[in-house]
Amino acid sequence: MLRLIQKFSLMYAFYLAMYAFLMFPLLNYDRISGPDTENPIYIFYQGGFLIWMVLGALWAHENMEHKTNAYRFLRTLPLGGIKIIGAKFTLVFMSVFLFIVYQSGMIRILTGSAQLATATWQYLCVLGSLCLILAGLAYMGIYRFGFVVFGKLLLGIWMLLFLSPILLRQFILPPLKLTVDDVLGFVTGLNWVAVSLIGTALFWAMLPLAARINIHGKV
Amino acid sequence: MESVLRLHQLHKAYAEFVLDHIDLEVPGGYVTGLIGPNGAGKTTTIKLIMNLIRADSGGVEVFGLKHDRHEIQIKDRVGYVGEEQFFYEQRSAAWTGNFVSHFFSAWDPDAFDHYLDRFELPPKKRIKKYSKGMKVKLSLAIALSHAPELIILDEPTSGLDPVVRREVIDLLHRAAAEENKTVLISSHITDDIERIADYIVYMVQGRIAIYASKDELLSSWKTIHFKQDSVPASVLESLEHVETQMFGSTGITRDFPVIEGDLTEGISSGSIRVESVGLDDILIALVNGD
Repeated sequence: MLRLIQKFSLMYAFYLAMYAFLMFPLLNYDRISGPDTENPIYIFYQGGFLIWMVLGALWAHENMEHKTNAYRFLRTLPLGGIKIIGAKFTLVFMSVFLFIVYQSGMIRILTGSAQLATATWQYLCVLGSLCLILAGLAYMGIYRFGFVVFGKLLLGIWMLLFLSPILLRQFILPPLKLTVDDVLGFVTGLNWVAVSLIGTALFWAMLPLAARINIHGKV
Repeated sequence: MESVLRLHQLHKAYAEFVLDHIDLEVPGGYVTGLIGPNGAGKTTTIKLIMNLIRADSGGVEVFGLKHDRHEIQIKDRVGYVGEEQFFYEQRSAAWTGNFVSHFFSAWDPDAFDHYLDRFELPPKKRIKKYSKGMKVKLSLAIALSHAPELIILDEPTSGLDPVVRREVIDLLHRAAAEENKTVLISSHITDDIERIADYIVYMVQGRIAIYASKDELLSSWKTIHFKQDSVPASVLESLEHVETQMFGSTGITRDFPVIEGDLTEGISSGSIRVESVGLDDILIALVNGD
């Protein structure tokens, strides 16, 4: 599996860098606009950044694998489906983990605040868990429906998620008046250890399932 | 004779095609040719054997092993050339050889280099720039470079020029004859199959119509040319696809050894003439008779 991870990692790292680059100005908005690193939005962005970067790289990488029919090639080799998919899961897990370590470390170094670094760590662990679950579901969706069909489905879901809060607020619900502080308060109020363990366990539990779907599915 | 490959009641249904509960045993150390018209189920059968698609029911055993538990061990011992060739096309043949070498337990880099050289494949050139025939040759080079016990080829010669085609067929023939490898090859080009196969499987509309040794098949199936009223009724009954023309009639029989005695008189008088058939004649008879 190491050889497969090595094979996938180059392209995957390229896509990670590409998506990171796209979001970099946003992540550094506060630092560019002023030294206000205590601003909660600075931490808030990092969660979105993590999910954007990892899922974006996953999507771009799968797109490339789809275009080159890489799965068809790999499936003819003495590799179980679980090894092929396992290499991809490992890359996702590593990128989430390394990002959390890196980002928390950077906060500690740049701000000198242990408290802020800890809060960042806890917040990113929770968001990282969500990211892992979403990544596992994305793999299963791609293998079940094929890249193109699942892409369309995802676009539909995305549009729905994007529009539904606007519609709900416009016609049904009163304004939620949620602030960044509220969201951060909710996330950091969770037991981050338990959430991380559950998220990680769920993610790895999806691996054999994704491998099985891969053989039955349309990839 | 030990079977290397067993298919038992293998069934796969698509919207417009059904592979209908086929049974097959491929004997070890021989070349078995899979012949059939387009859409007969050859590629589906081979994909099922390679576990590239999942059967609805029935089973596949390769070397007595099943894919659900021994997929890696099976594929390690099988050399496979598919109907279409898929590679990391931005990469070169040399890179591909190095990449796949990590997955085969008996990978022989010298053999791979030898085949690249023999097939005149530039090792450093991007596969993207290879022609279709070159990709088939690369696929063959990979399939033959890890000492496979079973070689499975799905239309391997379709994109090749006649010279290379002959070379590939001879290579496979030698592999089976001298190295005791088992070969399962499907092809539209019945000449290729006729040249190397020991056993023939005819597939028509998702079913196995005939499975026999080539010698048995070619000695049983004959074309009979006869003048009207020169053949006994028993012979006429065994003839298929009888066509009557100005100078006589022609039919094909699959029971020549049975009717041979009844033809002796007509053959000696010149009113009956017996001709050997080719594998494609049998295929046409099977398809038309279905």
